[in-house]
Amino acid sequence: MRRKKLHIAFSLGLMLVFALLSFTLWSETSTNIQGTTLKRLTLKVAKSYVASDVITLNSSSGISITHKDSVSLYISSSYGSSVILPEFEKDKLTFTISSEITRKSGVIYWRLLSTAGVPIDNGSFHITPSAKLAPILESYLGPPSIVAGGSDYSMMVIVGTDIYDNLLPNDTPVELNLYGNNSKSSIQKTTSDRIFWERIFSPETAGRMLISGSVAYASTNEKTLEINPNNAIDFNISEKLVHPYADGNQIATFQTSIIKDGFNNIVSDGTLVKFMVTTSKNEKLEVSGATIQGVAKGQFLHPNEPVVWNAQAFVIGMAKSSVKKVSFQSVVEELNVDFSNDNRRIRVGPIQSYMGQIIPDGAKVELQIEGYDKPLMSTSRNGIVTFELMPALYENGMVDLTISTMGSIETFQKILN
Amino acid sequence: MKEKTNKYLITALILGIAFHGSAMFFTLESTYDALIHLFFANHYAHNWFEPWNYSWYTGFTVMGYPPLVHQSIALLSGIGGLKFGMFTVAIIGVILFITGIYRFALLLSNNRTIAGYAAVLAVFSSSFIETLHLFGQLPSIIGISILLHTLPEIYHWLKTGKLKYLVTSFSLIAVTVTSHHVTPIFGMIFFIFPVIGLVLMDISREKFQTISEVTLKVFFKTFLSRFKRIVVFGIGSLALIIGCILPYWINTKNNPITQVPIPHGSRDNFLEVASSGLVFFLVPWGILLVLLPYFFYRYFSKRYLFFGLSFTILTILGTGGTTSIPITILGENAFNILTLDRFTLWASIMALPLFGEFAYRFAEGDIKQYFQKKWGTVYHRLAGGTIAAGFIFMSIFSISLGYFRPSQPEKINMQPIVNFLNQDEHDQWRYLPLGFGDQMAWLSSQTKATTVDGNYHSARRLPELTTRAIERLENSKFRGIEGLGSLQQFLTVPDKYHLKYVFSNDKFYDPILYFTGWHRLQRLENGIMVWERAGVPPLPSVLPKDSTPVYQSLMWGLVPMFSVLIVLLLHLKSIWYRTLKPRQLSTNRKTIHFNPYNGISTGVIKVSHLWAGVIFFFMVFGCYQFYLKNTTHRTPENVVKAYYNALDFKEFEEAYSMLNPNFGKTKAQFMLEVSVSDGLLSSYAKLNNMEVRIVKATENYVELALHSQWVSPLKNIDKSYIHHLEKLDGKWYINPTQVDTDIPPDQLIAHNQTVYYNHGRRRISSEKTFHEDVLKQPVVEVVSAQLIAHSGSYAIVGQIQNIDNVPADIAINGSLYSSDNTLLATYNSKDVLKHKLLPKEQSSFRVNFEGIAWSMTHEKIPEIFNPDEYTPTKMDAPPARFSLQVKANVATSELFTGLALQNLFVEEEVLEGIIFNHSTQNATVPQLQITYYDDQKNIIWIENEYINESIGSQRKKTFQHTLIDKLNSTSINNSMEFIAVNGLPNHSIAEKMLPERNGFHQDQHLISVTNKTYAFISVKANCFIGAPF
Repeated sequence: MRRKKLHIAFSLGLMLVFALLSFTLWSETSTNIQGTTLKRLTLKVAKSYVASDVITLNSSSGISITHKDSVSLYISSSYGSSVILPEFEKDKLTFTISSEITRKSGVIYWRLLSTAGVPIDNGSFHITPSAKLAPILESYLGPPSIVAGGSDYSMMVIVGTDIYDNLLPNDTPVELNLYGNNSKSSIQKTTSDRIFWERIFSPETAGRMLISGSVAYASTNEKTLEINPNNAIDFNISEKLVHPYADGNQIATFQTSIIKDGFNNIVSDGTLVKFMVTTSKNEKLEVSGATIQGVAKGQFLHPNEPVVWNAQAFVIGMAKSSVKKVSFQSVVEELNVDFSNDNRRIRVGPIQSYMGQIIPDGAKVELQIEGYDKPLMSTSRNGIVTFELMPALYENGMVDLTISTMGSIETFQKILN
Repeated sequence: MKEKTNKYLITALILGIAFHGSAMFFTLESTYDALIHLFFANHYAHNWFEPWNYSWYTGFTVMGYPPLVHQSIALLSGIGGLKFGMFTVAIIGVILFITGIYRFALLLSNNRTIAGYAAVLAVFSSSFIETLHLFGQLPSIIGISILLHTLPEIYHWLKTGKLKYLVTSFSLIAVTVTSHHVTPIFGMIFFIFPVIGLVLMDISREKFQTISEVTLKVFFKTFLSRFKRIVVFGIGSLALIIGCILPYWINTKNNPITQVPIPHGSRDNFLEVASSGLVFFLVPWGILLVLLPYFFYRYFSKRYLFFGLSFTILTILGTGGTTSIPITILGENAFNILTLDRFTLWASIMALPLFGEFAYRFAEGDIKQYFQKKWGTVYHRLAGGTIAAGFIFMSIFSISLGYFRPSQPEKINMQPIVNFLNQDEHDQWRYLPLGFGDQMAWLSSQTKATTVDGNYHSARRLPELTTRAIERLENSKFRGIEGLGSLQQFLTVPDKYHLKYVFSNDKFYDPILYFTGWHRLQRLENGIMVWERAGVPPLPSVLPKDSTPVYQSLMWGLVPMFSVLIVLLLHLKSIWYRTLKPRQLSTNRKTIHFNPYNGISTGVIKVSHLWAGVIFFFMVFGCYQFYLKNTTHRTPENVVKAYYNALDFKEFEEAYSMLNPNFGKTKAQFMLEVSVSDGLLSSYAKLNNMEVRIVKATENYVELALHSQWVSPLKNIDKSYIHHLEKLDGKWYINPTQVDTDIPPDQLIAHNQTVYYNHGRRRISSEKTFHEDVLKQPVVEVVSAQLIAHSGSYAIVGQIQNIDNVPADIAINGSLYSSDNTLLATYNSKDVLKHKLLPKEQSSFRVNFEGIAWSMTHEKIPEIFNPDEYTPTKMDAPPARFSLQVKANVATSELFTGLALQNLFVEEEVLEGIIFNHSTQNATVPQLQITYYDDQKNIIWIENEYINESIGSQRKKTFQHTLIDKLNSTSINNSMEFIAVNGLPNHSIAEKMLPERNGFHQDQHLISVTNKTYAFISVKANCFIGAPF
C-alpha cells in the first residue's frame, strides 16, 4: 500500500519538471523571433522641440507589425513617466506626445519597448522654452536699502519665464533699467544659469533708485532701492542762548550744522546726535537730539551758578563736532537776608536778577546750619524764600548759618532764642 | 386618598426659577468660575472627542475636570450659543437643587409640608446663592443636587432590597460623578453614610415600640442583616466613581498635582482675615448660624445621630484655618489642595431640612404654641419677623455681594480683541491678557489664538507657573513677587513661548512691558491697549500634544451623556407620576417613621436664645471695631498714616482735611498740586507698609519721619518723608510740605520730531506679506561685550549701537557655554537695555541668566515682594564662553529722547544730578542706566535706577543715586567671536559698515570715580511715557 503511493508521487513530480522545462524553452524562442523583426524598428526624433508643441514621432517604415499593441513608447521627463501606444499608418508607427507633457522644458528620455518589455530603441530630446514670454518677469531686489558711497550693494535677480513657466534659456538678453538722481541708465546682460542677476553698487548720492528689467516685451514690476546716506563726518555746533546769565531758568539750545556724510548727503532724519558738556566745575551734562534735515538740537536748562561749559556733539563712533565754549555769568550780586528778633525766621530776598528784576520763581536757596546734617532747601516765590527754625528742632544758642543761592554765598552768626 | 400636588414645592420652584433665573443674568458672568466652565463647554462644542486643548498653558488636557456640565452646555449651545447653554444649565441646576432639597427633607422628616417648607427656604439659602451667583460653581451645584436625589433611592434599596432602587441609585451616582468628582467622594462620607445609619436606625426602630429600645446591640444586628446590601451598594458606587470618569483618574495619576498650593481664602484664619470670614463663613451660614443649637439638638437625636456626626465635622472643616482641627483631620496635603468652602456649603445644605422643620414648627407647630403660651403672640411674631428679616437680608446681601465688592474688572467687550486676533494672522502667535480677571476664559472661548496663561490652575504645565502659587499671570500683581516674577520671565523671553501680543486692561503693568522691550500697538475700541513684541517667531503649524488612547477619548465623550440618558429613561415614569399625578403612586413612605412634633425641650430654646445673644454681641462688637479702625485717631502717627492711605486710594478731599488750616492752602490749590504729580510712585505703585517714627516732639509740635514701602511692577520703593505736625484745638494736623515753585520758561513749546510709520503689507490682501513689503532688518553692531562673574552669578555686559539709518528694536539673547562647549544657560536681556534705538543711538546692555525661581518646591518662597528678585540659573559647570544673538527689527514707536542729564557729579560714591525734560511729553517713569567701567574703560557692570516721580515738560528733577561701594565683578571672557546680529557675524558687519570706529567719542561721557573696584561710570537716560501723543 505504502509503496504504491510513493510511486505515484514520483511520476507526478517528473511530469511537473518536464512541463516547466518545455514552457521556458518555448517562451524564449518566441521572443527571439519577435525581437529580430523589431530590432530593425527605429524612431525619427529631432534634437529639440518647443514647449507645448504636440510631438509626433514616426518610426522607420517597411516593418509589418501584426499586433497593434506589440510596441509602446515609454517616455520619462521631469513631469513623470508615461507609456504611449502607437497608431498604425501603412507600414509605420506614429507616437503622439500631447502638449500637456511637452509644456515643461527640459530633457525627455524615450525608450521604445516591445510588449514583453524588450528594449528596441532609445534616446532623448530637449524641450526648449516657448518664445511666448510671460508678460511679468519675476524679480527680486535685496536688500531694499543700502548706504551711499559705492561699497554697499544690492542685487537684482530676474527669473524670466515663458507662459508655461519655463525658465528662459541661457544667454537670453536682459535689459536692466535704473532711474536715480534724475537720470536713467540701463545695463545689458544675458541670463546665465537660466536666471539674470546683477549687483547694483550704491551711487554716491543718497535718494531713491527705481529699478526694472525687461526681456523682449516682458518686464518686471518697479523695484525701489533706498540709497541711505553713509556715515556722518565731522560737523560744527553753535549755541543759541536767550541771555548769558546763569539764572537756572532759560533754556540753552545747542544746534549742529547740517550733518553730512562723506559724499555730501545729509544724514538720515532721526540720526541721533549726542551733546556732551563738561563744565569748569568738572560736572557733566548730556542730552540727545535726533536730526531733521541734518540738524540736531540739544536743550539744557541754564545753570544756576556762574560756570563755563565746553560743549561738543557726537554721532557716536562716527563723527564729532567742534568744541563750543559757553560761559554763564552770575545773576545775583548780593543777597538780602532779614532775620526776625529771635533769629528763627529768616527771610531771603527779594532775590534780584541781572537787570534788577525779581528772579523767576523756583530759584533754589540753601540754608546750612552748622551742626545739622542736611541743609534746609527751598525755592523762591516772587523772589523770596522764608525759613522757619522751629524751637522743637533747633535749640537755642549761637549758630553759624550759611545761605547760598545762584552761586552767591553769605554766612551769618546768630543767636537763636 | 389621592395625593395632592405639594403647593410649597410648586411655590418653591416658581420662586426659584423666577428669582435665580432673572438674577443670574446680572451675576453669573462676573462670577469666578462660570466663564471657565463656558470655556470648557466651548472646547466640547468644537471637539467633543478630543481631550487636548491648545488654548491655555501651551496645551492641556480637559480630562482634568469631569465633563458632564461642560458637555451639556456644549450641547445646548447648538440651540442658542454658549451663554444660552450656560444659563439653561444653571436653571436646571436651580430646579434640581430645590427638588433635591425637597426629597432630602422628605426623607428625613417624612412630612410633605416640612419638605415643602425646606424647598421654599432652599430657594433663598445664602450658601446656595453664593455658590451660584458669586462663585458660579455650576458642576458643584449640579453634583450636590443629584446627590440629594440619590439619597432616597439609596434609602429604599437598603430598606427594601428591591433591585430597582439599586439601579436608580447607581444611575444617579454616575451622573453625580460625571458632573463633579469631589462631590461623590466626600458625599459618600458626609451624606451617604448618615443615610445608611438612618435606614439601619429605622429598620431597628420598627421592631420596637419606642426609639429608646434601639440599643447599640440591636443596631449592630440590623447592620449585619443589611451588610450585604451595603456592600453591594458600596462596591458598586466605588466602581462607578472610578469607572465613569476613568480618564480623569488616569490623567491625575499621570500628571500628579505637584504644584505649589495656591492660597485660598477658605483656608485663612477667619478671625484674622475678616474678608475671608465674611465670604466663606458668615455669608454661607447666614441666618442658619443663629439656629445652630437647634440643628445640633435635632441632629443629635437618636434617629439622625449619624447626620449629627457628619454635620459637626462639616461645620468644623468649614472653619478653614481658624482652628487647627481641619488641618489635623484632612492632613496638610489635602488641606492645601481642597477649597474648604465646599464643607460649609454642604453643612448648610444639610441644615436646610431641619431649617424647614423649624420653620414649620415655628409657624404652625409646637414651637409656635410654646412661644405663644410662654411669651405671648407679640414676641412670637417679633422673633419670627427677626428671623425672616435676617434670612431675607442675608440672601439679598449675598446675591449683591458681587455688586458691592466686585471680584472682577468691569465687563470687557471682547469683540475688538477677537477681531484683532483674526486680522493679519495675529492668531499665529500666543497672546497674554493682563487685568482681565476670569473674563479671560470668555476671550479664550471666542478665539482660536492661544495663550501661555490659563484659568484652570490644576492644568498648569509650564514650570514657570506651577512652581509659584499663582493662579494666572493675568492678575499677577495681586500675587506679589511670585506673580510679577513669573510675568517678568514671560515678558523677557517671549520668543520661547511665541508670545507676541499682550492685551492690557490694567495700566499697572505698562512700565514693566515698556522696559522689557514691548511697545504699544494700538488702543482697541474697548479701551484695551495692545502691546507687541517685535521679532517673535510664529507658532509652528503642528503643536505638541499628549495623545490619549482612543478608548479614553470615547469614554470621556460618551459615558457622561449616556449616564444622563439612563437616568432619564429610568426616572421618566416617576417624574411623570410625581409631577402630574394621574393616579396614586404606590408609596413606600409609610414605612418611614413619622416624627410627631409635640413639644420642644425648653433647654434648646434657652440655649438658642443665649446663642442668639452671643452672636448679636459679636456683631455689635465687630461693628464697633470696624468703626474704630475707620476713624482717624487724632494722634500724630495716625494722622500721617491716614493721610497717606487717603493719598493711596486717591481720596484727596480726605487727605486735604488733615492738613494744617493755618497754612492757608486752599483745597483747589491742594487738588492742583496732587493732580500734577504722576509717575511710578503715584500712578503705578501700591502702598504696602508704613512705619512712623517721631524724631522730635514738644507738646504741640512734632517732627515725624515716615518710612513707607510701595510695590510697583519695576521695583520696591522705599520712601522716607519728614513731616511736621502741629496740634490745634486738641487735634493734630500736618503742616503742608513746600511745593517746588519752579516755573518753566516757555509758555508755548514748539518741537520738531521725526516720526515713523510702517505699513506692514501695503496691498489689501489675505496673502502672505509680499517680498517687497518686508523691511530690511536694521544693521546694529555690538560694540563691546564680555562675560563677567558678578557676586556669584554670571552676566554678559556690553554696548550695542544701531548703525543703520532707521530705528531698531533690539532683542539680545545670550548663551553661556562651558569649556567643553556644552550649552549651560540661555536668556534674554531684560530691562538693562534701551530696547528701541534711534539711528546711531547706543545703549549698554546686560544679560542675566535667570533660572525659574523656586523651581525646587521645597525652597522657601520669600514672603516679601521684591520685583528685583533674581534667581541665578543652576549651571553644571562654570561658563567659559558666551555667544550673543541679536535680533533687530525696525521700530517705529517708543523712541523718546527728551531727557537731558545735567550737573552730573560724583561725590563720595553718590551720583547727583538733575534730569531736565525738554520735550513736550510728560516723562512718566524715567530710568537711569548707570554703566561701570574699569581703568581700561571696559564695561564691567550696568545697573538701573528708576526715578519715582514723573517729570513734566520743561521741568526738572534732582536725583541722587548711591553707586555700588564694592563692585565684585571679574571678567571671564571678552572674546567677541561668537556674536551674531540678525544671523550675520558681528565682526563682518563692523568691518563693512563702520570700519573706522572712533572709540574716543564713547570716552567723552565717562565720569571718573575714585573707587578701587571701578574707575569710571557713565549715565544714560531712558523713559517710559505713560500717555504718548
